[in-house]
Amino acid sequence: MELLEVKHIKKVYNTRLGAKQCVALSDISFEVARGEFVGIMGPSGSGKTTLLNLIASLDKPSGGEILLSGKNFSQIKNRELSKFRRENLGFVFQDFNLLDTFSIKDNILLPLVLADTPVAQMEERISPIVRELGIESLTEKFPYEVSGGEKQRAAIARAIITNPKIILADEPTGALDSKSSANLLKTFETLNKGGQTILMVTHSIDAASYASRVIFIKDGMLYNQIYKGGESRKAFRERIMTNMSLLTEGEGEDE
Amino acid sequence: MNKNNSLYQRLAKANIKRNKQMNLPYFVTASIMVAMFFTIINTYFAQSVSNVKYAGTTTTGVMLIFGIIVMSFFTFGYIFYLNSFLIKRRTKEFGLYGILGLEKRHVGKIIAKEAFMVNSAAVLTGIAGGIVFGRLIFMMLMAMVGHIAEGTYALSPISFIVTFIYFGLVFTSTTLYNRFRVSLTDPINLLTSEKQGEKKIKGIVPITVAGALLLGGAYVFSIFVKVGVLAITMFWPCVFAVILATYLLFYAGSQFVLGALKKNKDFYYKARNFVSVSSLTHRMKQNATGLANICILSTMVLVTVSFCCALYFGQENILASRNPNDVTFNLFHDKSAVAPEKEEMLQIAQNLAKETGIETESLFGYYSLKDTCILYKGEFIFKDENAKMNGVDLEAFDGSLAVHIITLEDYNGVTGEKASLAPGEIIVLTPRPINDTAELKTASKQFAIKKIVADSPFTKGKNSDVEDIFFVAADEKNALELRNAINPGNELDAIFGADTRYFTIIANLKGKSDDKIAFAKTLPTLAFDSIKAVSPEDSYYYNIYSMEINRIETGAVYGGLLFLGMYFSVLFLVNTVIVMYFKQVSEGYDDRERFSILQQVGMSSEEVRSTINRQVLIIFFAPLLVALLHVLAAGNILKLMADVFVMAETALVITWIFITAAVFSLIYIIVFRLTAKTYYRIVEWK
Repeated sequence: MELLEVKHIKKVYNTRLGAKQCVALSDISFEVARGEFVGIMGPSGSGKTTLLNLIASLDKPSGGEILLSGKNFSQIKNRELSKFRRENLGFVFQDFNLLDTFSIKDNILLPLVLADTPVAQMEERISPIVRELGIESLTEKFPYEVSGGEKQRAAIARAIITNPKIILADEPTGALDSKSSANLLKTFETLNKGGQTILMVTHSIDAASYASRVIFIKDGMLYNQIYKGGESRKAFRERIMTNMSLLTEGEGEDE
Repeated sequence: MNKNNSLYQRLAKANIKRNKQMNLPYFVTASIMVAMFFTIINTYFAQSVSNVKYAGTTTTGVMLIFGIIVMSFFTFGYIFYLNSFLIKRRTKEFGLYGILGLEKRHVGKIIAKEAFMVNSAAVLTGIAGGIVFGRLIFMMLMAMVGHIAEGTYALSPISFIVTFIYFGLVFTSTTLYNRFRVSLTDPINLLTSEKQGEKKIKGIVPITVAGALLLGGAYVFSIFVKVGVLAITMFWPCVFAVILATYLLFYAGSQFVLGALKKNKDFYYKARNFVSVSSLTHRMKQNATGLANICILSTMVLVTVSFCCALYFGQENILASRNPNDVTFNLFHDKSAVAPEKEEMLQIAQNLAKETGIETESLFGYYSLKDTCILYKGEFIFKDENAKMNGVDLEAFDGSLAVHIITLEDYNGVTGEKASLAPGEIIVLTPRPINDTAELKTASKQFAIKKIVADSPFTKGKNSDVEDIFFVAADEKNALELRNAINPGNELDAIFGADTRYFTIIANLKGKSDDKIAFAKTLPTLAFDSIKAVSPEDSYYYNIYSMEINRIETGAVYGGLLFLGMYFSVLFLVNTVIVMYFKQVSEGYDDRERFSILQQVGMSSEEVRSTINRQVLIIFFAPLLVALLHVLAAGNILKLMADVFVMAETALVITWIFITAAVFSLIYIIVFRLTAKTYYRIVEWK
């Protein structure tokens, strides 16, 4: 059994007056195995973020189903949804989404606190993580006192502190400079090597080249997917680029 | 150019519509303030109040002027505050205009147009409301002051002009202020100004300690003080201490408490406390001053209204204690003159009562020599015995009392007794306890007390007990002897003579209020006519105390006070409500992002809802609870002060504090529910 199964997902938005329907995702199916690092790419408006929101259980599909470890999302009651999210999913966002009223440490602890974890256990969990991410000295600082890269590492710490089955990252390098981006992606790589499953939506070919597999989406449909295999990152990067230009070429022809 | 103008007009209109959530409450508040201002101005200028007959209405007029002045300042302050609140929220929008290429003067033009539309609508609506509700409010004032029949309501053109000019000035200055703010703006700063780090508060512990000490000191004093005089002298220092302490504690004390909560890890790292504590820390930093303001103003409203209510509804008691008898008429004269004839005076009063159509329940007159004494713990202390007052226990000290020395003849005449007194013997008339019931000791002489009468007509008035002490002496010679023993060498004797006898008529009446007033107003004239007919050369003086006349004056003062007190309370309440609303709305937008992150991280919408409720509840009710605490602590000192201001039933103050607090809290809770709803609507994440 695969860790994540996405089966014939469809998402239709009703416009405000309900007259027109807007199809964000028409029919998408794929699977993610345990320990995979999957990148999702596609031009703007292809439905990447919609897809991620559905997998994040933040939104409900109009058709099809999503299963995590065999558990169907549609069978989870609304009241248990946040608990499910807290226990199984870790999030990393483009603008970090740290709370400025909390210190870095409290931001990281947030999911554990919401799960009413005992204090001693929380302390035990946080120290190896912050050490590993190199933000040990920043824990008492507030988000507005640290750099973007540091913020994103804090966000990763928050995402992995619950030992989630899968990390969902939405354009995690979008607001970072190239050096911080590289650092972050290396962190992802390390985490992945440690067995962490990661699903990352990105625009950046460079970021996607760190993944073990890249799924391309266009107009709400799965367009193509490529595997890194034993390839070097550089070679994989080239292939991603080729695929992306194929995608965008199609766009050009339409016009 | 014309085309541009209409473009600005369109932009301004669109802005007003888009900002409805803020503009509508602002418009309503401004309209209410215009209406209240117009009404009070019109009540004064239409001379509606001076149409009322009887004395005492000038008092109401003076109070109205006072009210108008205070109100002008308040209105200006409030509108300016609200305006700055609204304009601050729009800095980002102005920055955007700048980036889109609008010059500052263009932006200025747009916001001036917006302000003009909203404000002139508010002025017109307000005046219309003032016209509609003005009559009602005027009738309320009349009912409170006590002359509903006589006052006539009218509209005065001056009040329209004054209102237009006043609000023209107010709104011009707010518009200029906004223009100034726009000119200060720099697009780059504007776009980034929304998110800034928090300032760190320094010296939390010392400031908290200082605040706690000030507050504790003031509380302890006001709860345990027992002496009226001390209460009055220390009242304002206490008030200032409490105000200062409130600011300090809201500012630093709140951080101190929240910091302590954060340090308690087992408490802090619980799902239900975690978010509340940290966002409260953040909110209190930003809102400490605003909340302290609301707290202090609430306290003032509570104290003012409960005091005014106690005075107003305790009027009859105050009147009764100030007027033991319905009419007390005193006649006195220069050294050379002769005291008026008793029987003749009484006859005049009797005839007058008959003419005016009122019954006399009792009517008597007596001559007296006057002086003062102190009755301290049952012991008489007269002049030149000040040494006895050293180390006095103020709590048992009642102040000085008037002494009347009357003759046995008058005493027997009034009471119908057949008492007899030897020279050097006296009868003491007072319900107060006296220690040495055998002798009255003065510095030079002793007088034997034959008996003490507690309930003679002299001290037992129709409405209340007479405070003064009466000594009955065997005859005029003995009376003078007693007077000189009590107070040798009185300074006033040079003018009036030590042996000048006061003549007093006491009358208790049954009849219509108007007739009783007529009686009290005519009696001195008739008495003087009669005296002047006998001895036209001499100087006579009088004073008259009439319960009915006093009632009108008291009504005018206390009714006017209550009216103004309530007027200001409404003004204050309207503004507190609106400020709270604005705060909630603008913080709602700040918090929206925060709560959406929390939900993404795994907080359920129920948890979000309960967290929001807790947070709003605390922010909202902290000022009210502290205000209630202040008022409760002030109960004792207020009661003592009321005692000094002659309120017979001082328990009323406490009662009214509770009633006012209950009503105020109820209004507050209603506002809270409305506001919390808006806040939740903004914050809720979909």
